Amino acid sequence: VRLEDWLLSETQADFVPRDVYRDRDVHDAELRLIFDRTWQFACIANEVSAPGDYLNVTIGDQPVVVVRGKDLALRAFINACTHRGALVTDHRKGNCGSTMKCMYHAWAFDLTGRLVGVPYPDAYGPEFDKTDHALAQVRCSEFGDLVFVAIDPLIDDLVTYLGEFGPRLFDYVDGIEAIGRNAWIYEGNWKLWHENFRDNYHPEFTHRWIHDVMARYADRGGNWACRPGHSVLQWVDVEPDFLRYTANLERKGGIHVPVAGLPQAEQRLPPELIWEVLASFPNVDYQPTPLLALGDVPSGLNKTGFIQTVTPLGVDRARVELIVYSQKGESADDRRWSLRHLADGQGSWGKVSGDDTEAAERVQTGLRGRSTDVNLFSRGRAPGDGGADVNPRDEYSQREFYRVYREYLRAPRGGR
Amino acid sequence: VRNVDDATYLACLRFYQRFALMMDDRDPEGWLSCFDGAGEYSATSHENDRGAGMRWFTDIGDVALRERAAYECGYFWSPVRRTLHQITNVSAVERDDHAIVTQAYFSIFATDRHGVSGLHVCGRYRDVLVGRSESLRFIEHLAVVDAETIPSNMCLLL
Repeated sequence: VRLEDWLLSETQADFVPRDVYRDRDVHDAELRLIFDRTWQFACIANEVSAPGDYLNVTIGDQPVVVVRGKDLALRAFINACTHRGALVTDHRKGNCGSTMKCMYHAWAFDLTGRLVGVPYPDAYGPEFDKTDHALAQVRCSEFGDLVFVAIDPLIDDLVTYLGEFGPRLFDYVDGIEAIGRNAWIYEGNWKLWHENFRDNYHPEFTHRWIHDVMARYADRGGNWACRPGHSVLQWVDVEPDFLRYTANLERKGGIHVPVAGLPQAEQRLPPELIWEVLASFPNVDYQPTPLLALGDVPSGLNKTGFIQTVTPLGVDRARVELIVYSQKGESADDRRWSLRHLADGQGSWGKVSGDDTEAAERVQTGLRGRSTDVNLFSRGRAPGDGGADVNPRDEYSQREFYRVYREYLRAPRGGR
Repeated sequence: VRNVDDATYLACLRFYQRFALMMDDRDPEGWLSCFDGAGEYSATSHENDRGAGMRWFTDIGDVALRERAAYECGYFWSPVRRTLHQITNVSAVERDDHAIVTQAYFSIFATDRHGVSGLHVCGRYRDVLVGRSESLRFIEHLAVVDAETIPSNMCLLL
């Protein structure tokens, strides 16, 4: 299968040429044609809450700073001094006061990006106009408590961009605040990580915890393509099997673990909770706990969860950023629970995600082989975008990703 | 900082030496024996510790510690690779209740899937020990990793 033919094809993306994971030209095209032209999650609003608060993010390969202004508006700029290009804010996050001052020659920019300070300006001559040298502003928009930025000024507004996915996401992310974040680097293509969170076929095999505690958890639920490019996975909790779990912990881990006292076994959750993993194009996934009325469940299960982004660092290297969030205004006990226990499953340390990083690295290594040209995404044959009546293990979610992925790579810059 | 007597300080050093060996030898029962039955083990990064204080996980008590040991000693898919824990710069202060508050630096060298060894992570321990001499054990063990961007495989005992 020729990559060029696949990119031009209008047929359903039942398969993906393996070159999309290993071709450097594809990687370069993705940076310009996808990452520059999509809304990219940057942070949760409380991470930049006071005037002068800033947070540095990398969008594709572009350094971007998100900063809160004196007027409390959020703005985003390419983080590069207009004089010689140095970063104007260096730390991951912080407060810069009333100006972002470059450490190299002390050019200073106010919180709206205007150049307001140039040492010894007379030498530039009378024509020098500071208004010509403002920081390059990029678009910045909020959705619930999420902050997104976009490099390309011509793309649709954020709500249009999210399309039918927006209403499915909003309640999960309105009224939340970040309580922690970490990043890790894995040796694999960025799409492998994102695909993984649109994939409900792997968990009961990749994750021994799911295999042992929640066998066949994906027998009930759904799988949606949310146009354009987004998706929702859904499943319904099953009765946990902690006896099988502890037996396999001992078999694999070499130590006896009794069921009595097991923290998960002591959490009495409502039966048949409906869980969802949502994904927005091209590189964000959202893993919220189910929305329940306050007081219905033990601490930590109201508007808590994770947001992950994945950023390419090369064709076979990527950086995953995990933001852990909890509910604004929750009780001190709930916040204490979240701070101590919420992140246990995710992250490269997590009881769940720890296996995902291993899978991604094994896949990237295996993809170097020339055994076959394509990866299959053909599960679920009913026409349409999936929904509540299809098998949760179907792949409408991934096919929608690659449908839109091809559109971006086909379209010339300035329009899709 | 060291206001414990020489014998107690030496006992702390021996304790950390044993703890490092238990981790590197992937001895889950030995690792567990370094904790009090009500002991607490948690880990996080420097940035989170300085921020809201989020931990990656907090395991409290014997059963949760056993579960953690099982994950890190074979339940995860990631192959158990060789590690070397180095624990240095140990300080020890005795509290009024006779518990010993210790701090130490740690660095972990790991051998990856290609057989290449290198520095994996480093950071600081902030611990509380109870007991005496050969029976010292953690009542609290917190590992704070210096890196904000960490390796993809943090499935190991810290």
